[in-house]
Amino acid sequence: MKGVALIHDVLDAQLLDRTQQKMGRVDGLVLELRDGEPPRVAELLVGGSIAAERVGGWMTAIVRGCCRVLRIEPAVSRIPFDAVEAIGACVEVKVDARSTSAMRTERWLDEHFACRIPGGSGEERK
Amino acid sequence: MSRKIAEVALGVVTGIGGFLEVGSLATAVQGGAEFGFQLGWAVLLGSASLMVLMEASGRLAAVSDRTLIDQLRERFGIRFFLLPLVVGFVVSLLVLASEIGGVSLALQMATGVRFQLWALPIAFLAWLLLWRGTFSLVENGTAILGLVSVVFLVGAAALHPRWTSVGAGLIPSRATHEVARYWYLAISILGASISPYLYAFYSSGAIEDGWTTEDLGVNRITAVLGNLFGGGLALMTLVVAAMVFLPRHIHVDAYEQTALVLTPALSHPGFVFFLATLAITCFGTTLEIALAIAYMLAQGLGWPWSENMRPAADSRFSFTYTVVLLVAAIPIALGVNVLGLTNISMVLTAASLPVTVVPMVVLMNDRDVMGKSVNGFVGNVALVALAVMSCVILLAAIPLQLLGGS
Repeated sequence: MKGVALIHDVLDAQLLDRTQQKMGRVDGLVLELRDGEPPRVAELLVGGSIAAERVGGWMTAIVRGCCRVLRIEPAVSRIPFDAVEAIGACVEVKVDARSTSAMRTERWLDEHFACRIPGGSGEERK
Repeated sequence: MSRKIAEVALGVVTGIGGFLEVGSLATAVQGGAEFGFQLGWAVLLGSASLMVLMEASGRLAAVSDRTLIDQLRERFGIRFFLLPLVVGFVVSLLVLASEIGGVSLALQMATGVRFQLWALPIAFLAWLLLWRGTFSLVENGTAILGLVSVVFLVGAAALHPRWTSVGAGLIPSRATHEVARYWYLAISILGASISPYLYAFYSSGAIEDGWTTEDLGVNRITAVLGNLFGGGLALMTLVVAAMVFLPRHIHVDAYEQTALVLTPALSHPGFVFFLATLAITCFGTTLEIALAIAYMLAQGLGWPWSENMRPAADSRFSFTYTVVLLVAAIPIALGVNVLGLTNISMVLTAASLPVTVVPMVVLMNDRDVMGKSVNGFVGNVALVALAVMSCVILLAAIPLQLLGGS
């Protein structure tokens, strides 16, 4: 059996979606506890508020405060562990990044900022 | 082969053109004006240190295909990573403001229009180049135009310094007067040479340019030759200031005075070249730091990033450099004292070094990360010495700022 060191190799790793698009980092892991069976990794979590919890209560307070000022709910994206395709230098998952809340801010800035300025959109490479 | 030679040539040019900027100019001129050739060792130590750090961060990126920032987050976790991220962000923002100030002052001296009015147009122009340009435009454009700073070598040669005395300054010696000021300037010179934004930028550049283990030779030569030439030019700046200002007992309290440093050697063209050097090198560094800050955030938090992509393809990345350019221009537009800001930025940069240098010792020795390219004995001695030095600087920086900052 080839083991994966969850903290060493998965937590904080760069997440890539099915098109190799960068979609955040693994900010948290969820273990599912099952009766009579060993626990298993159920989900990868992506979201600033999850990362903030790992830093400490003060950081959580800062993130909550920012969300309140911006009048948004903290976005947490839950990716089922079954969707993981490869764990290497990055963690590759079979999802479409643009459809997850991990890219909420990216999408918003895309629409309201980058696409409104000449030269911002067009072909992907300059 | 020709591609390799071209890359090395470019790397050397980057070293020359990228080394001198507002911080190294200001601190080298102050050092020379107040202590003659005696602080030459600090310039030498600064470029030697940067050589070690650039080589290491370039090798890290080429071997592991991850930047230094990626590795800091992945190996040490979010709790630790927040420290280098926040410290790097704040310090780089201060240096960015100083660079915008440097360009603004050069334009003020050239046109007579007050520097406050230049800050926002400069930030806008920098933003426009980042928005429309590619990584190689920023890297190569900055490097090639920055060659104008070779004028300091010409200036130093024209003044016929006693080269044996210049050489003697390369050996550290104790201050004969104003001890606190001496060490304060030594630390400022070190901070001006070794900036975290530089190796964040350099290791991101290695990824942008698609480096692999085949580029390790190029990386090594670039780091060594580039810093040798770049550090050499900073030393010449110190020499010129020592020959021009020290005998006349001129203490440099404002940039307007530094502008005259080349005039005795090269008369009016010296003044013009000084302004061109200040404006061009500070502007190039403005582009690099704005990008470096965006790289730090994007890589640390896992966002899409590349200066070669359209802004909409990495909108958080492009939004970051847009905002930091604007924020950094504000204090200059409000008229802060640029020389004072530069000095504080350089000391804080020096004080910030341990948070990146110490983890680098761990990363460069991790076989999981570096494979066969882990640090050798010499590399480790250099890196550990640097880590220890950075911790000493951290402890000394604040007391020296209070005692020796003018």
